[in-house]
Amino acid sequence: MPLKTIVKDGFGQSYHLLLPDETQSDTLLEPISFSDSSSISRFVDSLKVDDNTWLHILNIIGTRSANRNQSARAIVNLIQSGKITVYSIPLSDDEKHKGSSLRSKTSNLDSDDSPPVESMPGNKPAGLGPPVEGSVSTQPSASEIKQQVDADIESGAAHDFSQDEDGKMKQVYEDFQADPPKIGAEAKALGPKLSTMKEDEFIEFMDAEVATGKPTSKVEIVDSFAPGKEKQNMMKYEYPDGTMVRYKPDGDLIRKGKPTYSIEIKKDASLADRGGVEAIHDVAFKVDEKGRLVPKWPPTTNNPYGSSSTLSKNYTNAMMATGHKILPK
Amino acid sequence: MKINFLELTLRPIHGHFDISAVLAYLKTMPYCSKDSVSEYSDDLLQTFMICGTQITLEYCKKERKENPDNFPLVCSVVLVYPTDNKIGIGFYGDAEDPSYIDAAKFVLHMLGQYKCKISDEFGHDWTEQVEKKGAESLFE
Repeated sequence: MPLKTIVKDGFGQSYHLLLPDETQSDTLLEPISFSDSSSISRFVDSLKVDDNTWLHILNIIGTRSANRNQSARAIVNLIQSGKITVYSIPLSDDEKHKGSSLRSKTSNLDSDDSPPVESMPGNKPAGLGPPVEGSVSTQPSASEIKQQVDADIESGAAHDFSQDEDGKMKQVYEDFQADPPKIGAEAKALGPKLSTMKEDEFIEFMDAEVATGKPTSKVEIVDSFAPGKEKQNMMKYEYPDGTMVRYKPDGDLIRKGKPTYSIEIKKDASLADRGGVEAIHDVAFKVDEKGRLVPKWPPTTNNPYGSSSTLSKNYTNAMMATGHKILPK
Repeated sequence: MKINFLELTLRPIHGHFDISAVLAYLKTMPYCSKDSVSEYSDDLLQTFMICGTQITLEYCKKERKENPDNFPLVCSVVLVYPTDNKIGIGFYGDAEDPSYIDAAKFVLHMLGQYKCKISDEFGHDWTEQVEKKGAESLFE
């Protein structure tokens, strides 16, 4: 009986790595489809299999890696080229009862929510081998997730362009990344500037911006969620380059009474904010405190952990926090 | 389902919400929990997290305890204001997320019970549309 290469991630999910010249005997298994090399990299990273194990697999295949550090990269390349195919092995009934689930979004891997595996002794189920061991890992900490979110914002992997309502996000993204930016240059500069301000400094700064004639300002009366208050005056500062800053003195629904602001990039710089039912769809991105594009909401977030796991919630929560800011008093 | 807003406010056009009935309804909703971290008294505000799944519910409860200053942006939220006679609903999940769908069900339930003035976070008034096209049109 041919031996199988089985690895596990830190949450107990097992994967069969089908190596070249092997055939998949379980016809019920569906290969995982990765959208791009970065999603493969994140998958390989999530396994955290040690370099010796990757070298062992590379030796089986007959591929030599220049050094240990490059072995995981070599595995990524082999998956990308189709020489290694990855199959997710269904969870046992026991594991399912623990609340584990796998669900994919745009072909990305969605880790399950079973407790982190503390150890995987041998990791060699009967009849399986070679002796490939997945690593022992714990669930990424909040700071590790924040680091990943930061890296994904930097690389652009944070965005799921397929979830754009009207197909304009991609062009806005490219125009913003141009040097100089074709859209949202003001937002890029405002991100770092506003991030250090207290509320009174913010108001003073934005008033001065309006005085220069760059942005226009407009008051819109919206609901207040602070107890005892019905309405609040939301300020909208619109720059001609597609940048828009919203400021709510009483904050939003979940920050009841705390002043909030967001920096947004419109999909069409030539269109004034239309408000009304289209308001939410006219926005392409929000901008973070480093002046980078971040997803405006969860649907356009390319969550590498899918949508249903604790890890995915952690990722989305950390990502959304980058574009929704509280102003200290 | 389509996302047309992130936050809605409901105010009864006639009379007052039956707050005890609203709270009782929320307590029957699956994976819905009263937020244990609140800076306001129950007379002013009660906050409920509609999470849609056990995983999200546990995550949100844990997050609220560990980071009380930040609300987890992965569930739906219902704010019930007993004295203000209004209800706020925040939708922070994906439109296909169970937490979003359950919060939409809550809104449809409320609009089935009360004729309401409905507005969103951008100041748009949805009342007329709901009168003409029905409450489901909020999510279409």
